[in-house]
Amino acid sequence: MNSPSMSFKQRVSHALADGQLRIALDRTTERFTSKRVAGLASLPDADAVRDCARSIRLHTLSRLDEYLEQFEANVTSVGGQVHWASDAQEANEIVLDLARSRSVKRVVKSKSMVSEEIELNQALISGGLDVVESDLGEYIIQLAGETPSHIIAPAVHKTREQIGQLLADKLGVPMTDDPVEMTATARSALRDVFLQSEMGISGVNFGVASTGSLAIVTNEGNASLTVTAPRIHVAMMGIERVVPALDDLAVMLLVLARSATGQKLTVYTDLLTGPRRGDPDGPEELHVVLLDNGRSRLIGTEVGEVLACIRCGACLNACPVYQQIGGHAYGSVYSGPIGAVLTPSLDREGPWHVLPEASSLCGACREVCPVRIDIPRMLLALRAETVHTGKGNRWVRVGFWLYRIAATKPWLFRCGVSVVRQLTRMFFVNGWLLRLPAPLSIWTQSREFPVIASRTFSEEMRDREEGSGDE
Amino acid sequence: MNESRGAILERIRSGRLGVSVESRPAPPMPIPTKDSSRLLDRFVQEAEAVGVIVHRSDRCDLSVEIVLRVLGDAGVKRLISWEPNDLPISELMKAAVDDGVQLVDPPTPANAETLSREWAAMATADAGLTGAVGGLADTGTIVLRSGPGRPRLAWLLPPLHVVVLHSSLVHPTLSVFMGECGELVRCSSHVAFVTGPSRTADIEQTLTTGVHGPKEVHILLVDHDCNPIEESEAAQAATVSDETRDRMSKNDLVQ
Repeated sequence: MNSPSMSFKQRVSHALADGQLRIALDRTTERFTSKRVAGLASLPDADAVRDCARSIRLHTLSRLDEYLEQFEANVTSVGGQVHWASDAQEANEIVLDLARSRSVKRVVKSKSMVSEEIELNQALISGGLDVVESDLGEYIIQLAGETPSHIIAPAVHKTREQIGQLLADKLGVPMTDDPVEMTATARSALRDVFLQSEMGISGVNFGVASTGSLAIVTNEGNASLTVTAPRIHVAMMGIERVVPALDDLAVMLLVLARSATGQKLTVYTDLLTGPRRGDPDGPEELHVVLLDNGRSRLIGTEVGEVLACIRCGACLNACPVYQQIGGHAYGSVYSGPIGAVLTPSLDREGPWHVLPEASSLCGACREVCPVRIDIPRMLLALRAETVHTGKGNRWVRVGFWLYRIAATKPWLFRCGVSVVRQLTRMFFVNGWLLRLPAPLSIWTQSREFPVIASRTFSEEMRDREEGSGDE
Repeated sequence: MNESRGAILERIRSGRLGVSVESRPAPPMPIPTKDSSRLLDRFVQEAEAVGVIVHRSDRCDLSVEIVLRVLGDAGVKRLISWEPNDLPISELMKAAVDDGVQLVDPPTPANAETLSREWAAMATADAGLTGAVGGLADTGTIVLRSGPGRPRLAWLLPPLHVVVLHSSLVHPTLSVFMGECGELVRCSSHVAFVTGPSRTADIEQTLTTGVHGPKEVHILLVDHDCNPIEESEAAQAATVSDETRDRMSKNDLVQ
């Protein structure tokens, strides 16, 4: 994953100062959240289904090697081909080689987080290929030269006015802020792309081990067209996306759409089992690229549970931090609470140790997760690791070191409190300190610091006890 | 490539050593409905809720009339149709042609060169006519299956999709369908579960239909037999088995 150029703090300040972004986030995260609640309410026993979905994911992960081998054998038996990629570079080379050896010039893509993770588009474009994203949100951000800011709503950070202007600038159509007109514009622009591309690249929501089928869901139908019209279908799949059998898939589908958009089922749920067999259309070749890129290393570790994620995006919408700063501020492909765990776990060398700090640990993410991933627990584990490896903030370390010394010696603690109290009472305004000297100025940059009370709690208690003793 | 395969599997195995194998739970039993008429009512209700127009018919001639009317109302001139044997009403295709609708030939798979040319022609079709191998009552979903004579583009490309579904093929839930019809998935390259018209909410969550696939979907739910489709292998696999019906009627839990 590419490292962002600004620091996390700078990115957050940027996001918070962006009025358009705040409007867009307000309009959408709230709507997603209420739709999700309604969607789950339509299940007779949503909690039992979620428990079951969780067990299926954990079971699969605990025998992942066996299910992957079974999946591979079944994909092969129906005429598909499986390619294993240890890292991003290898995966990109596999796809590029496939394209070159088959004289592919035009590629149409449906949304795939894995391809964002490995930056497949850039690799293909520098390899001389035309690559067009077909999901409307992805198409919009591709035109804008940006990256997605939400797992299932990539253009969530843009207002309709901004999108209308973008389409007018890039496609030469009249400016409009009507989503219906904009959608019609995109439909006609993308029609030819589907029919003229030689290769279609999709993501995979689930791979079914017992049949070798790929389950891909969309509402637009863009994945269906991507895997139908072009001669070659390349499916990009993380190694953790396997489920044992079709009835397990049915359970996962019960919670996926409900958690993502509140729908009972996405409009198009496609089950693809091998290339066409005497069908008049559909791909002649099917290639599945299984990507590791840091995943296998997580199994059996404290953050192994993150691999149970089914990428519904519910934790993003529920997160009070995401609601304020949006996806881009995280600087990584995967944003929100799940991204704050996944990103530093997959890419240990990257500058991501700060992401687990972007949480108040309120637990809203765990609450909404369809497979009940304990995200706060893993955020804490990652924070602890940051401290243990010495990557944490120097001042925080010094501060806690001083605090430990003071807190373990009551006389020193009392002295400290009284010194600090005297100091704070010299500079307050209406009971608040507006500015503190460095390094404490980090606190007062964005909020005030309360003045320490004239009497501490223990002083108060001591007086009371003395008072009651007199009676 | 093989090196990566070995290395990945090896890393998984060594990580797994410390992990206890979690038991695989039995998926929760799907909600059975009491009787088939309630099942069909539920199907219609859910399909309408996602924006599908549902027509019901118990007579062959009525069915033909309905389809011709839908095509006529939409001003359809060019149609991608599945082969007569793959439609529950075999005379539909001929009736459409007699009504002045032009059929767009599906591409022949043999020649890749021909394929791309034919597809340009298919892109101009105004409607697609297909036959479902199943319906899911609790979501209003139709199940379509690709194969010889059954082009996928018929349900994907034109702005209007008309699909005929026999009422005996309606299942209570996706879970029941998967349990009964797993074989369909194994023997078809593409099984699509379609729930409503193509839609997007990528622009500020504003719901818009017809973004890539059809803007309008009509389901014709038929109770009569006009085509020996029941004898085909697909329909046999897809028909709700007696066992499921027993299970459904035993349980009084109704949605």
